[in-house]
Amino acid sequence: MLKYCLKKAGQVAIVMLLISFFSFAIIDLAPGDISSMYITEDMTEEEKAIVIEKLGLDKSMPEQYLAWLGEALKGNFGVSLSYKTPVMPMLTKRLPSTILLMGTSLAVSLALSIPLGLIAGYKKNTWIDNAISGFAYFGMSIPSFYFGMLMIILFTATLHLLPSSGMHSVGVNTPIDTLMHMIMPVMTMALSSMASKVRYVRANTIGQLSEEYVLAAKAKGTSPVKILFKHVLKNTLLPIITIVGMNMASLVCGSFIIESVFGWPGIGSFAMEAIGKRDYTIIMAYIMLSGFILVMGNFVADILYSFADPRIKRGIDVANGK
Amino acid sequence: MNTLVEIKNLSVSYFTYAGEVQSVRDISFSIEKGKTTALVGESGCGKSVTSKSLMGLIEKPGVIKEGSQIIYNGKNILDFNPKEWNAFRGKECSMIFQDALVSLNPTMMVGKQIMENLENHNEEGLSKGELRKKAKEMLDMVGIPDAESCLNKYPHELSGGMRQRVMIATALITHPTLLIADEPTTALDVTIQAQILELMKDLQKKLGMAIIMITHDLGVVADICDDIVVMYAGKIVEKGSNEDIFYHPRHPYTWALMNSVPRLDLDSKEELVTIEGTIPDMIHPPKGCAFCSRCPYAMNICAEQTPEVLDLGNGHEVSCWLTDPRADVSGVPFQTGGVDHE
Repeated sequence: MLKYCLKKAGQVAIVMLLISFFSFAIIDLAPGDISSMYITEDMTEEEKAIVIEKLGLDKSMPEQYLAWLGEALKGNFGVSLSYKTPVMPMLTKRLPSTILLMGTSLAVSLALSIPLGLIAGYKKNTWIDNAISGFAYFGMSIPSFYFGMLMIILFTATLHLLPSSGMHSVGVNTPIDTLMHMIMPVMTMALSSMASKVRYVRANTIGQLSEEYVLAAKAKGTSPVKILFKHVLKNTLLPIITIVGMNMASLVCGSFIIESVFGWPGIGSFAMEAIGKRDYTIIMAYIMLSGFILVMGNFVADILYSFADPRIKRGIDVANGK
Repeated sequence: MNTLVEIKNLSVSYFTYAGEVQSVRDISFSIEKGKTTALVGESGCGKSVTSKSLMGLIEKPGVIKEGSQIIYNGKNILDFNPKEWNAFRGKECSMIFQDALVSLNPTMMVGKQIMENLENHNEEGLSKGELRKKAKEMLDMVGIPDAESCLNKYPHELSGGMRQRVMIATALITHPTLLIADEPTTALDVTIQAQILELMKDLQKKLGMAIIMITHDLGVVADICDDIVVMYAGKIVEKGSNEDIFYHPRHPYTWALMNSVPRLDLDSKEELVTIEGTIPDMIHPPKGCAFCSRCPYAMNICAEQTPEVLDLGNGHEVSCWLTDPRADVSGVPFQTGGVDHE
């Protein structure tokens, strides 16, 4: 297992290097840069050149990249070109609120989609299945910014039940208040991410239920509920682990759309703003963070596989000469 | 008579897009307490469907037809509600499946799967530890070395023979009165086959259960079965004791089956009998005898009318027009009518 981890770590390093290079290149290729924030029309050419030089934008892309990489490897992600403050503290300050929102919606979507998928698969082609699948299609098809706005219209504008934006009401700082603010973004997030999970679990449940071991369990007098939750569940978890692994990045990086619609003070809306300003130090730090979490999420998913399916663990051990 | 199960007029159909597949057509036979009954016949003749009906495991699109009865201890089990079925399955009647690898849950430890059966029927309120002890005893009984560590293994870590032993342990941990073995040795190699059969005979002596052995391996049948039911195209063509079927077969299909087994005691120049053709289409079963199209002794009547069941005494029954006194039996290499042991 140790050898496996070391091998994976090497792969992660290479992937991260490639991610950083390509994202840097893309930012450079994008029209406009941060200097437009400081340059006004009545400046002379010399003044403009001084601003560009100060920002370090006069150097070529590879030079800028290598300079950034050298610092980044030392753990220094630089100073924001628009805020003139170090990047990392700004990101870490917004991290807790993003993790809170994303973690809750991930938990909600898992807690709902796994049982729903199991039931839909078990009651295949009945009205229950149709209702659950219809709900899943609805969640998959409706754009979350649109659904979010519908929620705001219904719960805030019409019913006056829930606050429409932010994380706290002004002057209030209680868990209940935060919870009230979380309900709508969490529901919107969970709905869109639930859909694919329900479909995966349903399809897998149908496949597993036709396996002989289910018949054998039935022949032991095992009740349908026990068959579903004790036998089938564990066997249907593999694709879910993959999806959750890929969702890990959004757990930390937030969602551009949801955070913008609901004015959530998280990393997603912050990065969105930085992209608008072409503030490449923030963008790069954000990309490195999300890339790292994504790769790590997949790595953790690989490890979790072996818990869900003991045959895979043996495969890993054998491949590494154990 | 010490009858444990009586199957009366059982008919099972599968409703597919192509039409109604009549897998089992009006069969009746009974199983004696503590005896081994073999269901033999080629693939698709309805053996497995019959056994699944006994366990209530016929699932859509399969339907057990009106008028079918399976009497177990005086009760018609086909009238059971789901709760009664769950109490019956595993406790009264257990089943061993053909391929133990796919019949064991790959993600669950073997011990847990064995205990599950007992846990489902835990009337004595045994604790987890006691259940585990019973599972270990059962594994010892089926001859697994180091049973304690085997409990914590996953199915893929065991050999084919070991897995089949685990299946047997699982089925027998509740001491059922009836054990259905659906081709229990087909997936195993010959030496392991012999061990598993020996084990089943042994356990039958110890625990006294009745066994229904579903197989197309007549070697297995000759070795351990008391009674034999020969099925063809969803019907019973002949049934009787082991000796009746092996030494006094009356139906051309039974005769051909018996003579299609390679034997060491016969002259090597003698050719093995093969049965030409394939089984009939079960969506449109033939009007007369289903074996008619493949039977070398078929007469005009065979294609027109289904033969009546003729009782030859001692439970030996056959359904063939050759037993009719009017039939031309010249050239038929086996006895056709009258009583046995002439």
